[in-house]
Amino acid sequence: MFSVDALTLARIQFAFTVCFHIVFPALSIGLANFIAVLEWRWLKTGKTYYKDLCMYWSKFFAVAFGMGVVSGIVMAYEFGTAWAGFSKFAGPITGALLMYEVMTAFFLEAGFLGIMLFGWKRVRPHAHFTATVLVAIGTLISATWILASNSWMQTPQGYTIVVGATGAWHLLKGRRDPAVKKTFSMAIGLLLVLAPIQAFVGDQHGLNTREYQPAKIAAIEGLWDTEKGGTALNLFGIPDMKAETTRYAVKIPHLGSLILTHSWDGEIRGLKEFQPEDRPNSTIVFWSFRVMAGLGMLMILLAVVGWALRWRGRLYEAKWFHRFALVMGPAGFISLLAGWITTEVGRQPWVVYGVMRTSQAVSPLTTQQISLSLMTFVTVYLVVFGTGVYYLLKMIRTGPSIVHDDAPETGEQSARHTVSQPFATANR
Amino acid sequence: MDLTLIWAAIIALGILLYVVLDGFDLGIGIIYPFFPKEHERDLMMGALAPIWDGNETWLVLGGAALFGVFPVVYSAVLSALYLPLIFMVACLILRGVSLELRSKSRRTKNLWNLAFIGGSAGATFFQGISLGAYLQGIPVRNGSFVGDAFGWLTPFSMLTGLGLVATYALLGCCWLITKTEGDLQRRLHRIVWPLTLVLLVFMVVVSVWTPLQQQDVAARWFDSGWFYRMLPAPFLVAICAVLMRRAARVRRDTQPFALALVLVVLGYAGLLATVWPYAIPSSVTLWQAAAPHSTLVFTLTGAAVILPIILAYTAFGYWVFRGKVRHDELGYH
Repeated sequence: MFSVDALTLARIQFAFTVCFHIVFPALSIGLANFIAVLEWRWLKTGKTYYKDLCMYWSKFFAVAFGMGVVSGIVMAYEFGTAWAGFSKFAGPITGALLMYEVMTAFFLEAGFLGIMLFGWKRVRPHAHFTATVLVAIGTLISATWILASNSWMQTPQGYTIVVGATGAWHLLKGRRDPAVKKTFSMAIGLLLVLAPIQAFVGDQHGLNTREYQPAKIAAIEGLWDTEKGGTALNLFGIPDMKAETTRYAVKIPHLGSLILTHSWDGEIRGLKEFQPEDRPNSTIVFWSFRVMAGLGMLMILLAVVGWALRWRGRLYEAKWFHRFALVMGPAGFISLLAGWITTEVGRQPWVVYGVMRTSQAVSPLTTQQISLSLMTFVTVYLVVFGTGVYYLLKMIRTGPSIVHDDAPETGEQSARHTVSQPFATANR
Repeated sequence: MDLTLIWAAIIALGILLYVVLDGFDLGIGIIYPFFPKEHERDLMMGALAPIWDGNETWLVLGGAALFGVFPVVYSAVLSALYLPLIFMVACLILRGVSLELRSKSRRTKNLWNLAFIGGSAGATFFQGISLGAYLQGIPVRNGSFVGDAFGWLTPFSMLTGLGLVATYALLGCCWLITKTEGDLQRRLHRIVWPLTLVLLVFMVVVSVWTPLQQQDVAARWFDSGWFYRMLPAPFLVAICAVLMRRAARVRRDTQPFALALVLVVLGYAGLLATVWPYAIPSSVTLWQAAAPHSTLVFTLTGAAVILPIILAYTAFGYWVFRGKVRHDELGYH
């Protein structure tokens, strides 16, 4: 009963490596575009704090991007190493799409990243700005591909909210310089734009999924029977796979139909219409979806409240709001992962919906091989990304434009000041 | 037009580009232990910092192109080389992250130095092992790998692993020579010739061992017209070696790197001649492994347009960062 086979291990390994990987591209998508906006403001207004912010978030970006690249290599090879059945079968389509993603997005990002990070003195400001914009475009193209390959996107606000939380942290600490204020207000402003877009994309995705992967929708909704005359929405409840029912359900009549079919009494197929072995695990996706959607709502709330406070001129003074923004810091990533879990678990037991089962996709590998590789990945990822995240957090704590307080240093001394790199001073 | 052949040529060129670009990149990590001073290490990392992401993207493209165009190769070879490839990417992760974090750390700087060395050397070694295992042939039935989980672990693959470490070390050393000056450059010049010698030894041993262990390779090498067509190669290698020795002695700036490139290209041509016409040596030919015609057309259309653009801006990036690295240009600004 409780034996761990190669398939289970391969699935754990895939989930583990993917979850680590997607956090970083998500971070760089929002970050690159934010940096591009900052640099554009700097070119337009000539205000130094824009450039300071640009430099500060660029350092952050470099770390996130580097981690995205290296964990992405794992993904590019994991399909072939561990999922040979899938690769052989789906290569002509999935592989071809992946190739286009590499050619259009990854190379663009990586090709201009060098100039964006290190080229300040080597090219003129406008050429530099072009490089930054190209990197940002590259991240957006890759976002499109991520979306195309079937995931709920929580990416842009995921980052915006980190920026917001950074600003909030420093506001709570009592800093009121323009760099901190700008960070905070720009993040809240961006969130106000992005969150509704997100809601729209999510809604479209819901319609699409209902049509092409109906079992997933039924599992997400914890819906067992196909109801006539409009389906209720289960706000809460605990779907029970064995008893084929959702316990302790709190229902709102007609809301399910309204959201998923955009009509008062549209029909949604229940889980019982699918063979038991063809059903995804409703208990997991029911909750992962609600975590994602709930956090999405909170983010919209944060943006709207922030906008209201700003309108009344109290954005930088309302402490309770800064605390709210700070607590919401990790929300983007949690909802990103929850969305990913919903998509991937909801697709089970299929790897290609209705065509190929996950168990047919795995490579002819032994349990020992996968155990060894899984242990390697867990160790390397925890060490490497643990420290990576540690440095990112340290950078957040130090905050932007600390360079104003430092005397200029030479390269020899730079080991002493690690986070507030001295190099920015040379540009002022 | 034979699309399979065109794709094989593109992938072969892509791999060569990867070997050259990430080769010098990883090679810097391999010769890193010989240069213990932190301020020199700053320079060595500084020579890499603006370009390494792009170099490694060729590896991602290689994986994706195999996945799309030769799915059988991608699935069978990669599952056969499961462990070495996993170890390779684990090493690449360590090293990529150490590049970013070394400059940000204080107390743990030495650990990141170690991660950079171990990651670079390890990734290269496991790449070389994968190459050796691939050359020895991978048992495939019905498009799936049917061999042993540790089939890749042979004396020959160990040898190619070490051989690749030597190759990348030479590339890295010669690249650094173009990027540095003064005392550091002088000491780099001093290790060029020993590295070249080591590489030559590996080239000879691999060239002798390969036909000895594989009958069909021997048959192809010595029976048909191949032998006479490949005959100039050893002489060209010898000429390169002589020129390299001179270039190192008179301390040329870019000549060592150019010569190292020629050496790599010659060795690579030899490998291609060994593998041809197989996609997986001695079991699946290129044409048996290719994806459906429609996929080949779909991907080739994009590649024909986008790859030249990629090459153009990659070249532009290198041009922007031409010349020697200087201390005042390190860091992100």
